[in-house]
Amino acid sequence: MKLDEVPNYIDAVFKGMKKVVIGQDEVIKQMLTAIVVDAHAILEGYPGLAKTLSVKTLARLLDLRFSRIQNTPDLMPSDILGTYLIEDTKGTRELKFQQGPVFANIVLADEINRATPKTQSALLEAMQERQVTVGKETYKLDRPFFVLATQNPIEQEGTYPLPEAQTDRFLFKIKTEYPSFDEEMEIVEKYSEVLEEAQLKPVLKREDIADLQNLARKIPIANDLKKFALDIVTSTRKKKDLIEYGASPRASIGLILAAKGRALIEGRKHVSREDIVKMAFPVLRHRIVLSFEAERNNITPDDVIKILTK
Amino acid sequence: MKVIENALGEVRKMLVLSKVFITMIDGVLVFLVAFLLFLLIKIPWYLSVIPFVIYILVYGRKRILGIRYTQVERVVPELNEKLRTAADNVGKDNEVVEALNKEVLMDMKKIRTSLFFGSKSNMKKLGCMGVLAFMVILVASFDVEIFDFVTLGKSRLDDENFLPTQKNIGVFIDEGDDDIYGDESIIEYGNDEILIGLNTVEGNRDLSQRKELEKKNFASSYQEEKEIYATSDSSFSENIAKENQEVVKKYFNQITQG
Repeated sequence: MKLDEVPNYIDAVFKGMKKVVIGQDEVIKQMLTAIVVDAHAILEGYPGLAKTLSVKTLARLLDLRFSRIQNTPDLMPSDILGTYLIEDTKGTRELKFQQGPVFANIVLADEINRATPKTQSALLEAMQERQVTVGKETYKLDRPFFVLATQNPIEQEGTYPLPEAQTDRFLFKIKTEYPSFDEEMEIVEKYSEVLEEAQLKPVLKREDIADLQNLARKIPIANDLKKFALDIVTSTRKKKDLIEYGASPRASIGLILAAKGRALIEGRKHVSREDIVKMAFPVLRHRIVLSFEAERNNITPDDVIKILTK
Repeated sequence: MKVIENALGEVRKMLVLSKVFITMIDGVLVFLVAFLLFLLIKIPWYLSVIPFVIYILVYGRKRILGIRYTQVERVVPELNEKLRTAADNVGKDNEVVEALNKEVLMDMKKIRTSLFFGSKSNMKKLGCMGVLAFMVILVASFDVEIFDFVTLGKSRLDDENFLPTQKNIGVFIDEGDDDIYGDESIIEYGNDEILIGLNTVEGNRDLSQRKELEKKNFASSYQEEKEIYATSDSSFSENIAKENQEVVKKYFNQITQG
């Protein structure tokens, strides 16, 4: 893929997404950015806000192997990673590894906070190392490998919230918001009248995604903007009145990379200040722990990030 | 890559020139203000070069060191963030940077020198310069002054250090002594020059209000010399002829009778 062709491909993905998902433009953009920068993302939002639908639709537009893990409290790590089965071939019995759903290019980990910490950590290890170790054997995961997880913020019973250290594996925490009145009207019209699923064709092949990932890393950034991004991240460690624990240098790398990815998606050949500000929210909101004082005053991580990006 | 480097160099050169131009305009303004002020307080005009030179050195340096590509981006919005990104990534060589450089080169065509030199503030400054120059001409032609700084300073010095004393004029005239004719020392003037200074600030004498001379009768205890004779100064070492002695005697007799 050439640089000039990028906007056409991105446009085609957006058009495909729009056939199914009404509104949620920022969510789509951030999901696509995660793909472009080869990172995992977690989508958080109330039920019925098209989290799962968005991931499924994106997976259909990418010519990649897709799998879905529906997380429940009784889900075992072997249900995700795979297990050894005894296979009887020509009279001899041997153990054969049966790959789990994690052996795919796009993994939708639905309601990840419903799985037990043991199962969560099995998935998170695969996300970090991009390999799976079962018994004595280590299996490399196919590239590209993305985990797009979803979680529901309101249901607390029977859930195991991901610890901060584990959410750090996700580059983005994408928030799905309620649609506007007009968007909801369109949703109602679309899904109360038509029964058939929208016809979608894969737009991006494996090689295209690899090209996009290469191009994203080549997007240049001005020194003062780089400094601006680092200032935002490092200020999370200094603002003790609002933040108890700030973001790590991984967040700095993530923010710069995310800004580059967004610039590519927006069809620009350079990172802008707006890219950094926009991407600071999904990159930092799960990496900062608010102080008691901030929580007492009903201040959200997004409010704090808004202050930091000013 | 060479092309973008050259283009960035050109932009930088233009920025330096514009900063020098602005500093010069501001410097001339400073000069004119100082010139006008110095004229009004009677300080030699050429001293107004000092604030001009100081301004040029301090602010010129500050402005040139403070040159950033964002200054170009502000006047050419198409180059916003692109120009500094291209400048910061000159050493990098990949297809995205190359494409960005091409885009920047295209947008650089929109940079006009007039955007930097013909700004509103510069026009206002030029207007101010005109007004100040006109005021300088007016003040100089009508010799307007707020106060004479130099004379004031000089008279203060005179008051403190150069009061006429008995030593430098030979005679000390005490203002409190009304009857000077009774003092014998009046005839011993000596050869020193008498320095008479009028203190225009502290005194209440007005030279423009001169009055006619009044005839005054002095009761004097002065004893006239009985015999009048003329002598030459010791430095001439010559004797005055007898006939000339007569002329002098006759002259004195005539004027003392009148």
